[in-house]
Amino acid sequence: MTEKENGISTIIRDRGILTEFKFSESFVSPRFLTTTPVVLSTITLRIDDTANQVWLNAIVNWAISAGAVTGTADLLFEILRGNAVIYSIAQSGVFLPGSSTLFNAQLQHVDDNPLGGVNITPAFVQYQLRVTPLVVPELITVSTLSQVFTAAELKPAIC
Amino acid sequence: MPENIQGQLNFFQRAKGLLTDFQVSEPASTFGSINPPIEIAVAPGFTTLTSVNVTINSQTNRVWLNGTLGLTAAFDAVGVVTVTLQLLRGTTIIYQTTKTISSPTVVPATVSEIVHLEHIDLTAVSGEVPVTTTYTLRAQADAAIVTSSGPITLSAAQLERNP
Repeated sequence: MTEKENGISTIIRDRGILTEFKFSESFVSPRFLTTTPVVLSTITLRIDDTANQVWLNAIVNWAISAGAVTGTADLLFEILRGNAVIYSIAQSGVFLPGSSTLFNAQLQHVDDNPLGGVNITPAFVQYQLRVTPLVVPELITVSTLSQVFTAAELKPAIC
Repeated sequence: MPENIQGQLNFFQRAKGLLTDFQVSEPASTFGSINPPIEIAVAPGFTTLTSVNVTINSQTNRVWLNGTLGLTAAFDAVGVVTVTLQLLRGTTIIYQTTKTISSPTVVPATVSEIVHLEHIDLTAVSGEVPVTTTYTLRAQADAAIVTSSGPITLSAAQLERNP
């Protein structure tokens, strides 16, 4: 490449900040929930720079099948980095006698410290999407039906 | 410009990413971490939940806004409460959605709900650039029984126009 060509490529340098994108998706296997947490999806990212952020998004479709009872079930949807919970959001599911009801839980979190203070790059970081039953009354069945979990690595903007 | 140089230029232009800026405000990232919880105002009032600033670099740029928050309603008996959520650019409402939260039981109950908002701002700026724009997420309820104890997340991704 000539010097002039180098100059052109410098001018049009890439300003895009999305450097990595991974996802985990499933709509096949229901996971029945009782009392223990269930990991729904796992994503591993290769973080290239300590200044990078990770934009995490997830949608979980879940259901309640109720017997002859009325009430609410409470689930806690969580995102973990390694073994640490870095995000959680709660959703109640209202049910009526004999009903089958569907719900959608949406999660969004930006992890601005994906390496947890460790300044060695590149490094692999694992994120988990987990659901923890908080309240599951008797005479109902709670299950997740599908989920999508995405992780986008973003570098700081070039101003 | 020689043809081969133009070809390389086109290649690099095609390969250029459109996502050029990403800002987020996340005052709380876990359920229960806002203590005491934020009380959602009853109409005509509004409760500001969070704001995010974006520096717009071009009049043709778009801002992709995503808001996600957890709400809790405390019912004394069977009932329904309606929550209105808005996104503002400065003081201008650019997006609004509503969510109902209900309880089916005659006994007191606490019901948690998730709200997600998504909007593309096509007219983020009309004057000179660069300019910093503030986007705000706020909420209103029709009964004084709704609170947020987290999480609250508002993200803004700046996208250049398609090639």
